[in-house]
Amino acid sequence: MKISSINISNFRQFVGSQKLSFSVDDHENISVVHGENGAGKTSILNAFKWCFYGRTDFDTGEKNILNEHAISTSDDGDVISLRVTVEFEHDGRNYKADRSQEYKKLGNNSVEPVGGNVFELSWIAAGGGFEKSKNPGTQINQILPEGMHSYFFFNGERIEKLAYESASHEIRDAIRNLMGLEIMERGRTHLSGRVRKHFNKQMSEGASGLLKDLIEKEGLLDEKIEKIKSNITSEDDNIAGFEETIQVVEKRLLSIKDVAALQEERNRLNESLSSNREAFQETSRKIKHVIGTRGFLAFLHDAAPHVSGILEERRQKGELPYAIKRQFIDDLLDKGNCICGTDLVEGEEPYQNVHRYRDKASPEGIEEAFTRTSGALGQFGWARNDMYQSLLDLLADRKSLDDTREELEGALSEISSKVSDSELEDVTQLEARRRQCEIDRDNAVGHRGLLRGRLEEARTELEQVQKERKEQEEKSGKVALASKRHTVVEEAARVLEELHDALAEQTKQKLSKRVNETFQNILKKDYRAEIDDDYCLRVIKDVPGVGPQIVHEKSTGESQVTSLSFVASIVSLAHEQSLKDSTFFKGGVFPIIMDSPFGALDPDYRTLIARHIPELAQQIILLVSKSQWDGEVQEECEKRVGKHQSLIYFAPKVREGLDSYYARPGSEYEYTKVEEGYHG
Amino acid sequence: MSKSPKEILSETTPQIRSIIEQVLKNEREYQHFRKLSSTQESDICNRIINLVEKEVKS
Repeated sequence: MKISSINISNFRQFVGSQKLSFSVDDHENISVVHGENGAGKTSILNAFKWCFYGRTDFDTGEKNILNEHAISTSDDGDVISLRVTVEFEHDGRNYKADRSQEYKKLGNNSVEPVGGNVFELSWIAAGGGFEKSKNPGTQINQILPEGMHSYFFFNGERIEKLAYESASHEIRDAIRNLMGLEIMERGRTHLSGRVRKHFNKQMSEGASGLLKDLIEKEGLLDEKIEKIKSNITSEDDNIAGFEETIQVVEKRLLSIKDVAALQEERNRLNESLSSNREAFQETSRKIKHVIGTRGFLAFLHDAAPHVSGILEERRQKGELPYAIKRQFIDDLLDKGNCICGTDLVEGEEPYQNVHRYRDKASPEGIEEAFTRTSGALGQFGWARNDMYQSLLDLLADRKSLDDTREELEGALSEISSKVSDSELEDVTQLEARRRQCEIDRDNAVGHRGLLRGRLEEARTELEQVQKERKEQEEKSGKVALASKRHTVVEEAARVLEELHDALAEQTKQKLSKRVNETFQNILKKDYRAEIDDDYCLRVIKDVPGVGPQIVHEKSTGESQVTSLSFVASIVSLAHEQSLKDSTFFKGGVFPIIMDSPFGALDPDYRTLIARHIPELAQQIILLVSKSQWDGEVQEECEKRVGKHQSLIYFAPKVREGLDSYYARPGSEYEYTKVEEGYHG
Repeated sequence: MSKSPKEILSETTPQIRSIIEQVLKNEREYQHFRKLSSTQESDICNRIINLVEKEVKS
């Protein structure tokens, strides 16, 4: 996909029809749209989204996207039209995507939509005429799936957020969307849901009595398990959301001078707390292991000496180990001759006398067992003491970790109080929000734990019911076929789940490798980047004498480089997908459209990132303010710029000192106009 | 070391492989719908039921 233009009409700040064109040249692949704050850069990003999918990322959704001036200058009862048209080339075809929505003006300067919005997708056919899609929504999603959209069209804040630990779910989603893994998820859900239920019902109808009950019980347990799983997924999303908000708030606190030191201290304490929790869990695991493997020794205090006593008594009596072996007696009886020369005839007294020895004689291996048992009993006392000592040491370690945890939590709580006591209203509000998110997250974690426990119980119960059901089925031939089909469906669902996980893992490794290549290319430092097992984007550095260490506190520059490397890897994998005959997402060439990048970067990072921007994708559209463009970025990118356009913002009033060529006061109402070129 | 998708498929039976391929083919037709309607869900599930009945006859 290469975008050639967007035409925006009555959308947000854009009054009437405003057109932006973009460079589609392979070398001069950068288009720059200049505009100051409020001029409509983010609106352009959202206009693309609204045109393609009928949705926006504004806080109020699609409620207030109609231009206010267009409303105020219309008469009550008038119909106002909002429209966005995007022209693009994809896979050798020139497309036009057009979405429009009509509104009717009511009293009090309000409007109501007239019907739903209308989306059309057309392209120039081989003969030169226009051909219109019969299923435009589906087709645009085939070209660029909505789930992938946010990796190609994104704002500056988002760039940085991708590198947060809490963004792991976004990385997971990208992999899921890139590989089209949702097909596998749906397939598994259909197989283990309705399809399995269908064969379950067939089995139930053909069965009777106990078998019927078991089948019904199994069906109910299946449903229960699916429901718990879905609730766990919801809690996972909630936890990820809370954690993301906490990180965003903490980053903001870090940028406020008055509380930055406290926030830094909090970050350090949180890291210690996280290591402490891991160590606590590890120690608890070791305690369980000692109890599970050697705990029985605690109950052998009296038993071992007692058994030793019995063995010793039998040994002293000469009963254990017995001198005569059973095989020896059997041989004498077979030969019919005793060692004293007496004939042994079955039924006669000498035969009976020798036979009696047979019962007393030791069977094979008893001598060895006697020696082994006597030896082992001697070790019991030592093993028991060792087990107690190991347990005492581990319990002491755990207690010490618990004490440290309490201290850390106390220190964290104190920091929270100090931040809350700040005289800055912003800070107290941020801290209150952070605290609330922590409470919500902890509640969600607790609830998820409860659900996991319930899931385990339900699975155990299901296994038992399945076992009983299979036993009953063997007795009844009626339901055999339905049961066979049921089993095949279960197996197919299991394999599909395994395939899904393997494909996700494979893609993650591939992406991780590319992220690192781009990262090292940009940063030229002895750092590397990777996507770890938890789907977090990590920066690793080698510390002399210590080895590879994770950089927990990435600078804004490092975060942006890591995230941009990730986005570039997605673009490159999507391109690679398009060259393969994939069962899933077809991939393709995609542009990167960035709204307000480089905002918080120091000059060194701006230079490094800007230098690599032309290489990130085949088409780059930058939406930047003057301060974001002038200087290093302009120097590095200018030679690759194919198009400059400017957003001129008109308003009744502009804040003192901010009026410029781009922000002009004195207008009757607020609006934005597009102009060719850049006016510095 | 976890298994690759190829290894997983090669370890399963031809019958399961065939069912999975057909299930994915069905699902692919609806891939571009963000949310499936109940009619679409029914259509996909009925198709899967039919293909399982065809694959497992005795």
